[in-house]
Amino acid sequence: MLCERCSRNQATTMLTQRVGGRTVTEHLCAECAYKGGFSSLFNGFPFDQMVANLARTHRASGKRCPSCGSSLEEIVESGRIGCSECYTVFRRELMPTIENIHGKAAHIGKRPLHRKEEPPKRLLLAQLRDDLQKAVQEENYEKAAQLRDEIRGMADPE
Amino acid sequence: MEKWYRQPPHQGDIGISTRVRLARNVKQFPFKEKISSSGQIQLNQMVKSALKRMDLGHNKFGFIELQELSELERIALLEQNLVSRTFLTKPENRMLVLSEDHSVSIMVNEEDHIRIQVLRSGMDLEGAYQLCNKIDDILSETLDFAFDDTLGYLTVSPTNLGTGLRASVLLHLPALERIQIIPQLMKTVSRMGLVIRGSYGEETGVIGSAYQIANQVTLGLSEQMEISNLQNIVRQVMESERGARADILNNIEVIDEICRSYGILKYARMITSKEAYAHLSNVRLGVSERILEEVSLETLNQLLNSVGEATLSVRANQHLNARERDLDRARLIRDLI
Ligand SMILES: [Zn+2]
Ligand SMILES: [Zn+2]
Repeated sequence: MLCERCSRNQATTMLTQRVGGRTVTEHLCAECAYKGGFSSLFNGFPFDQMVANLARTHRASGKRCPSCGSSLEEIVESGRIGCSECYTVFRRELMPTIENIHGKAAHIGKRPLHRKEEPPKRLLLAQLRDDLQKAVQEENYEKAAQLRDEIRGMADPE
Repeated sequence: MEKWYRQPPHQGDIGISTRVRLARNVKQFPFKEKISSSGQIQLNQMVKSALKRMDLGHNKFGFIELQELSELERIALLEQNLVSRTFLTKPENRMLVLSEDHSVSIMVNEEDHIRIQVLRSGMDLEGAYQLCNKIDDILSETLDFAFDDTLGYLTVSPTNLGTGLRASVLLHLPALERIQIIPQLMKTVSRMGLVIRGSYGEETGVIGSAYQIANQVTLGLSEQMEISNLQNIVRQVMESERGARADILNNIEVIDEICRSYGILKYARMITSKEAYAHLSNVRLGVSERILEEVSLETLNQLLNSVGEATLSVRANQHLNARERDLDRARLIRDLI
């Protein structure tokens, strides 16, 4: 069987994952499987048309990242971001893709050592409470208990 | 120093190995497609000097310029899961930091600037993450990582945004496979936001009944939550595998198959990798369920990491053809089993 993504190499991996709310099983070559089946990140999802349109508009506007020179078109084509600054320059355009992969979410994990200042706690708590409610609705009690602990831990020092 | 796979595995009856990796990029350099080669060389130096400050106990880091390895040596690293395929495509200016026991491998100038990977025998997500985290702390004392308050650690691919943490456990699921509920399991697991994969050969089904379960979402969850979500689901899969094993092992045909596999591994003079993986899988089931007492899981783990084509050639110090590999593979297995 040939790889269902690149149609070039022999498929050697069966990969099942959730993409845009659906369960998808694919048979991929080692190379495509390593990329997590996400090699054509901006293709094959319902919103790629949207991103492609944006890219076209951008080509007309000629907007480029001042730091690394990437255009949105280049990013869409390669599925790879040019530099950390690109995330600021093209944030609005990249957000639909990011939300499709991770859901509407903000980072709550580790921070680099020298950047200890926390994002506003209020926002984090709101996010956690949302998640908790969802976990309870889904009857995912293990997750709910975890979230409850996390919320308690955050509320503690005050 | 003994390699990581010789360590006694946690939950080794089903857990083969655990892998945790963190993706990091350094703010001052553009990402992969845009970084200059002088930037790459500078990055290698920075990582090297940062890691000099790390105390690994008896374990030590080696620093390897990928270009200085032979093609075979590089592929052997891939076979042993110490580097990614992407890492090997263009060896120029790429550096691998490898601990003596091979449990830590840090790829510098891979897709992301830095990928820290820790391997553990059996299922040990906590242990693997803790070490990854410690290495990340040491690196971030001197390196300024690209980070955003909302998006977390910034990565080349948006799929890794947030924690940059990818954790996976490789599970041995021969009984679930035999009672044919793997497709159902794959659906359930992916519904929980995880990815499940198996490597398979042409007509043999998944090689060695080994399935890897990994987290997928990296944004909006803390590292601890990612790890414990994965842990919970892996535990449930393990429980169902244990249940299925209790059923199928009442069957003398299954026991017979296990013991025949042991016989083949113990006495064969030539063996292909496909055959070896299939029999190693059967023997593994036999050892886990105490049907075979003669072999240890540690030995089986060592064999899994030793019978790859390139690995055998590197070991023999010459390029082996297929026939020579089959001879060497059979000899290595006979020696250890
Ligand atoms: Zn492919
Ligand atoms: Zn840029």
